[in-house]
Amino acid sequence: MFRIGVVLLGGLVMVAMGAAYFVRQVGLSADRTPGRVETVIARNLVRLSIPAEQAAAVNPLKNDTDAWRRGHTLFDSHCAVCHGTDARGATPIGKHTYPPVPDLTASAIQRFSDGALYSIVRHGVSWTGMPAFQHTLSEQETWATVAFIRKAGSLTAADLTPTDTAADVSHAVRVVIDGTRFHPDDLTVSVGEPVVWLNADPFPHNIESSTGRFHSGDLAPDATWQWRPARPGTYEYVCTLHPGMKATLRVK
Amino acid sequence: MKRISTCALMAAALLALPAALAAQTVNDAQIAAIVVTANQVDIDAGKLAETNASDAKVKAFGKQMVTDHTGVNKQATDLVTKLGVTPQDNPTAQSLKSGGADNVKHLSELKGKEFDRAYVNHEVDYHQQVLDALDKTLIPNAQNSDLKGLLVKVRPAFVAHLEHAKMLQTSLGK
Repeated sequence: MFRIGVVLLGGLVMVAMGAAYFVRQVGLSADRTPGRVETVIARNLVRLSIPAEQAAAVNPLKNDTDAWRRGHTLFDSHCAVCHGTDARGATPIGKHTYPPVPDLTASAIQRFSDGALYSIVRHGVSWTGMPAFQHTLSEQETWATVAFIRKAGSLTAADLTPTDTAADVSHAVRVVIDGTRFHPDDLTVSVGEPVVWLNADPFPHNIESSTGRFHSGDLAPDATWQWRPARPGTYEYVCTLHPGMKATLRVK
Repeated sequence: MKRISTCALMAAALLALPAALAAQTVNDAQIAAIVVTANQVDIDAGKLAETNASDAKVKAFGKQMVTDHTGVNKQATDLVTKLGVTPQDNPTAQSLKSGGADNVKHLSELKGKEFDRAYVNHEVDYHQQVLDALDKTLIPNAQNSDLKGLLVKVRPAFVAHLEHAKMLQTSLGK
């Protein structure tokens, strides 16, 4: 009995020393990238931490083909700051947290059940940047957000154009990227008015708001990207590829 | 010793380059050759950085140089074809070419942080020289308005590349 106690104590001391060694060696900074093993273990722990009955819950909005649109608006307001408007996580915040914000369109995340995603949004994930949203979003809103997460990987420009205001796009406000500059570099639009960026340069540019509210990913020559502001505000944005390319979008 | 002499040689080449560029009065066919060579030189160096750089940011910068300069070159080549101009070799294009080859040779002997620093330092100097050449020689001498327009249009990208390279230079430490 005494011997077991000593062995256990010894084990605990070793674990503590291991943890201390790890912290000394690696530190607790967020400025690093988790290894593949750590990622796989962490993902599985998250999955295992969700009670089976919650994971098995069926999205009550699964037959509502427009649920993802409401989810998109909610995602834009609550999630995009870290996850990006496209849910791919490549935002200034998302890239530099530990662990980094995952690409929600990736198969590793899409493998989670609707119920599991719902549970994660409701309760958050400890030791990551993911907060609990049960005090912010209603149950219906959370399910709509889950519907958007399912849709995010296959969004097309047409999906982002609400059917009732399709005509808007033809006179969407245009920002032309030409000569490594945004023209105009200071633009005012109304809430809900789509803004289209056109890359007229012979090499890629991107559009990234300084707060991560929107980001386009790299835009090939002649490609366009559209964003429809959901909330008023002043958005500073840059092309991360070309320092010095700065512009402002004001939404009234 | 060998490295020092290579560095000295390169420094001499770098110093000689702007003089060569500034002294020239060039015609459109020669400008076309200079533009294409200047881009190609940076594409070659960028390709090397894509594989040999140790710092992820330097690697990404190298990749972007390949993408951006390939894009510019494609547009330049399209324009030259449209205008029916045959690029004409000239001392400036030749000096760019040999300077680029020397740089790639020098870089391919380096590894790790040493490579990163040497590549980035050269990128700063190179983009500064190309900007000087654009301002003093290429843009003022370009006769065809489309060619002049293209040079004016791509100039800010070279400024952005220079800024980007300088930022990397600071983050790497000299």
